[in-house]
Amino acid sequence: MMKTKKIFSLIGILFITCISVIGISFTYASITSKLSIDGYASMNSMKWSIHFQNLSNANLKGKTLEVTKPTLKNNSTSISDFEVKFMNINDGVNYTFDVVNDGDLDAKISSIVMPKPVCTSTGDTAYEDSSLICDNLNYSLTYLDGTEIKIGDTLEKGQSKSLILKLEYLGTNLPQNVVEISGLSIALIYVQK
Amino acid sequence: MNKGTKYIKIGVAVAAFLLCGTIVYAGFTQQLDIQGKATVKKSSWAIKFTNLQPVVKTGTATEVTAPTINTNDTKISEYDVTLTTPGDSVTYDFDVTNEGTFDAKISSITIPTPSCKGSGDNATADETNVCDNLTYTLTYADGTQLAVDDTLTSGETKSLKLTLTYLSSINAEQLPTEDVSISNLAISVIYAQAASSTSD
Repeated sequence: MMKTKKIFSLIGILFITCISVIGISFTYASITSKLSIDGYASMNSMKWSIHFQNLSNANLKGKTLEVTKPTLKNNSTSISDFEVKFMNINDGVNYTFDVVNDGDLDAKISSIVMPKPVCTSTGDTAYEDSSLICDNLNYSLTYLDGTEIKIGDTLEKGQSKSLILKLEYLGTNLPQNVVEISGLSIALIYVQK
Repeated sequence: MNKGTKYIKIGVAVAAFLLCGTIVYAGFTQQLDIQGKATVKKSSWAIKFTNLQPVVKTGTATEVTAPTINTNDTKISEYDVTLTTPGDSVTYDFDVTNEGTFDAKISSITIPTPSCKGSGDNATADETNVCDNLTYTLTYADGTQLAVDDTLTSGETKSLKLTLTYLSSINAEQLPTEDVSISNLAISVIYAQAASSTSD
């Protein structure tokens, strides 16, 4: 008889405990809030493509000889390997070409690197000859109308602009020996506008 | 007198004694009473989103669908945006308000890392390139990060800012070749009663 009473008492205690735990759970749940945020986004495909095209033949002045024609390389992002010979005063060459934005993003020029040409010669008059040529050399890259290319110039998507590269000897004398002209690499860096 | 009658008399005598004893005892007692009244005032627990503002876009970002706040004011959802250009971003400003009678504090914050799903031959690279250059943040309006245990006292409102940004510091090779969908943007902030909270 006593044993039965103890069992009932124990069950009673367990029941009360369970009720308490459930009560605590309900109380806890009732004083919290879950705030939520949700959504969806997508990223459109994009293409970045600034390149040269429509490279013209050489426009030669005077007795200038074109030894090697320039070529478009590296997905048309480079014009290179041209070689010309100036034979007389007032000789010169120019090439025209376009820079095109075929991508989906507007662009602008962030940097222009246009070094000063380097002249080298041989013989007793090497210094004089080199100076003569480099001091009277015009090397320029401009827009076709002669406007200077500047940092910040824009090239909107779908837009193309015509450029002209000029190399001219403006001196009135000729050197004693052959003078080689190097350092003609120009870099234009376009970035997203 | 037989034996049965004797027992009856004794019984009556004992009963009479007990009755007298009770009366005497009652004469030396005093009942002390304490009375009072207690009430439990009404209280409420209400942490809500409010004051959701129109999207703020930068660059070429577009909003396909504006977000909405649900009827319980506890969920902002359904926004759908499209980012196109590196540097694009969308921002939503809104408030979180404690309209209840208890002080609250943040007990948990979950801000997931967005998932990207591309398509086509370059899908995997596109997914990596896009997701590696996304930032998804929920901050206070001044840019301060939300933190566990941040409080929101009864009656207090704080302004929040949700921002999704496509970083501008990428190169041309990292641009996606096909459209990339971005999911897993579900954020949850759980407010619980602050420990020192009292209700007037």
